[in-house]
Amino acid sequence: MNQFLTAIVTGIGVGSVYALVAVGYAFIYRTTASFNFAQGQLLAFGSLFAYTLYMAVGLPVVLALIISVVIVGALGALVERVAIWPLARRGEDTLTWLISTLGIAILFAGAAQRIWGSRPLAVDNYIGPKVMHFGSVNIATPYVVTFVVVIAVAIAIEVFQRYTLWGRAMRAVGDNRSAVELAGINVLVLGIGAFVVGGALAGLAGFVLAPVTYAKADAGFGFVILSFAAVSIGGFSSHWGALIGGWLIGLVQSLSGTYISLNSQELVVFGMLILILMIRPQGLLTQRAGREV
Amino acid sequence: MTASRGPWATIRSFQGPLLIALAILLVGLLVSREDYLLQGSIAISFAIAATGLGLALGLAGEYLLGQLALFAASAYVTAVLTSNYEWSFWLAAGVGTVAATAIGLAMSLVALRISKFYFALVGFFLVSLIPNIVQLFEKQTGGSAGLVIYDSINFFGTELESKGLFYLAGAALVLALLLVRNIRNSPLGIQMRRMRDSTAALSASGMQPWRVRVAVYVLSSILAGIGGACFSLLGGFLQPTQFELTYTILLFAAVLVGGSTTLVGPTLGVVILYIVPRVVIDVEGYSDMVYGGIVLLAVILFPGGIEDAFQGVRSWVTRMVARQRGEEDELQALEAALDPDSEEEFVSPDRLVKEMLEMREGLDLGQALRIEGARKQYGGVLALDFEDGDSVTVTPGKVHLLLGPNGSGKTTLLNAMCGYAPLTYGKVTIGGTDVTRRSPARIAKLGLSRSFQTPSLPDEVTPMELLTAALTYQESLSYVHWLLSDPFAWKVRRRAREHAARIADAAGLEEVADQPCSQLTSGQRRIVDVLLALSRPSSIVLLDEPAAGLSQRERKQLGATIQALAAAGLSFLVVEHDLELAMQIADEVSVLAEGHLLTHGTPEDVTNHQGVREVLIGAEA
Repeated sequence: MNQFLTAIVTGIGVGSVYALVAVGYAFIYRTTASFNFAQGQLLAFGSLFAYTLYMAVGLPVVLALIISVVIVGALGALVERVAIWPLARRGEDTLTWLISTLGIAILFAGAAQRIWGSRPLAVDNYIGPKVMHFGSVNIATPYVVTFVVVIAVAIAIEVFQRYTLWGRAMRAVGDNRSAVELAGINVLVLGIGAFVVGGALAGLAGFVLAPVTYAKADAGFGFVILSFAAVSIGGFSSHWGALIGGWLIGLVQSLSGTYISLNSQELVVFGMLILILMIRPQGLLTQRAGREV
Repeated sequence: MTASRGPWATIRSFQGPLLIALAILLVGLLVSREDYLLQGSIAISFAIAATGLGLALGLAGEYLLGQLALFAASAYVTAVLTSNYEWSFWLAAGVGTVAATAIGLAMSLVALRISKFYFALVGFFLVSLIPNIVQLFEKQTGGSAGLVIYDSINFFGTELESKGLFYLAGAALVLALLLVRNIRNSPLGIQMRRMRDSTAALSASGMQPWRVRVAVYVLSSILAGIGGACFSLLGGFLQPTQFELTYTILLFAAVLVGGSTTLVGPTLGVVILYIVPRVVIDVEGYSDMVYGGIVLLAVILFPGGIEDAFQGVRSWVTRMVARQRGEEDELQALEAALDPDSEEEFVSPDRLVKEMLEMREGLDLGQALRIEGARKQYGGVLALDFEDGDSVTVTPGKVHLLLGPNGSGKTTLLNAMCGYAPLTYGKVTIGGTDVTRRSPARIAKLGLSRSFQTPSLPDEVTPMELLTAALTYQESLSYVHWLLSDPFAWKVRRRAREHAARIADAAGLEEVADQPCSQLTSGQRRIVDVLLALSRPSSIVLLDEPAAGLSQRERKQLGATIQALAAAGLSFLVVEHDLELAMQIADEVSVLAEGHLLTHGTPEDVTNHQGVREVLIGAEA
């Protein structure tokens, strides 16, 4: 029983990380209909800046957090400018964006390895004890923090998209780009904005997580793939879907790690993803879109 | 002139594989350093896989990002069978390739169901799982610790050393290039390009898009399998780290850099990306950054790859030269085309009609196409909203004209008839058979063909090739014949090519028949699209604005052709905004307005109908 509870709590905790990256994906997708492959690498940058600013330079944690998130958000804007905008201007389809963001992700990963080396770098716990106890279940504090943060972020996005002009425009631009343009809103700025927010969320996730995962230059791709699984299951256009997808992936991973084998975790997630996509190609929580000819 | 593809053209189509073969021989003769030969052989085995990826990506537009997993599967199966079970290499390589193909086939089933976007990422996921899968079979594969390969390969009695292996891998690459060359030049290759640009256009020709897609995946996995089997021979050791994501990127970048739409581009790409950093300049530690930067730059700066950029420069030069010479001729031709009184150019449609009728000999032309009580809902909008008793019937031997302002549901009606957008409510029948929910390709096979409002013709393909592909399709030759380019394929293709040349000539396209479609004017593109719709054994032809963009002379010829074919028994449904032409050729007219069927009758009835005037003159002015 205790083993089962531990698996569940760990699953939700780890899943919250995927959820946070996935919420960033969904946010970007909703506005630009693109998948930013560099998102995982931005998460890695969040951890690496946590190491540099908090550990090496010794800034207070709040300051280090703010600077990290701002820098990673700016890197998100860089991704949009370099890898998306030149293609969007030419009218290339979104599949080519997938490839160009993949290119920049590898470039970033290589650069990070040059700067920080390829060894994992330890980051001290920011607040509270290293591990929290819920009854007989133990879980690393950063996972608890991520759990709280991801719920807060999802609510914040909901409020932003429902009640502010920019938020509504960002939602609308995914449905009808030219209508938003005609309303006098600069669509290009919206696109950058989405990448900045998405990047900042990844940076936040990386920063919070650094004490458990360590800061690693090449940590990005694993997160890209599992968070992609989360958004695919939840449906690309809904942050609530991304949230639930993230938890689901975390749970499946943790349960199969506990009851089958550690090696089987990703394989089980892959199987589940294929199964869900074959049954509902548009994701679990999205409506089927009209057919296009 | 269009039929005369001399021996030079055939030889030219072999120049890529030939040059690669020469280069391999040359390297084999000049290089004796063991480590260089080993790196060369590894590059060659990657090049084989990249050639397959290029076929999937460039020709067919399939994002087979998971191809490295197939390569790895074949490498491991081959190595396990030779090392642990002491099979002969050839047999093991065969089984390895079959294993890769089986996985590729399974992937194609997934690809048929989910969007390209998801599929690309699923492929990436699969590659990241290679270490897990290898670990799963730890007993056989050695897991992350690796598998030592004892096998040395016995080639007709001699043990192959590093040079022998290099030649063996080289021979496999040349073989792979030849097979892909055959496919690229075959009607199947043309259909792949059509599928890449528009699945709708492909299924309108009666081809099942899924068959073409499965063929693409099988071919591409066979090449990944051959490459993987070669790879297993090299280095004497297999480990999951040899199939890291970096190598997926390497394959992908190689295809993009070399030019995904070209035959030898992917091979050149592998040489540049794999060999140059290892042998020529040492960029140890930076290779990821280099690959990433190259992928990024390639996508942004050269969407078609190096070879394409090179050809772009060449065609720009020829264009400039041609402009110097031909500007005046061109102006005259343009004036003649625009002059409505120039009668001398009018080509009688007789020859074209004769060709089209010969193709339909023995075909039952007597089927009526009927759509009744049609309703089609998109979200909350009713794009088509017929009353229950309303119907449109395309009678055999008649030209039925469909009129209506923009947005009145004309194209929706056509799409419902062809199976692209099945009706929400109502019924479509062909000769009494209910086809409301059948797939486009199956409906096309019943004898329906159509042209499109916006013709979708692959840029790099010529009208002759498109027509030839459309005509060979009727012969239903197995794909294997095209792969081997055997005498059957030759015979079928030669006959189809002669036939296509006669059709192109008769349609007045002889001048442009051998030029890539990207060079055609919009009028010529439309003529080609209409010819493609006609060049199948169909009894009912739907034409969506066939005269848009045509010159006066071309319009007259089009009208005369339609009338003559209708007189011979074919039935037509035509959507057209050129009322003068349309009313001349129409036997019956239906008018749509806001999704309703406003009226139908003879051209005279409709012209005198008050409501029609209001609807049409409001919109057509």
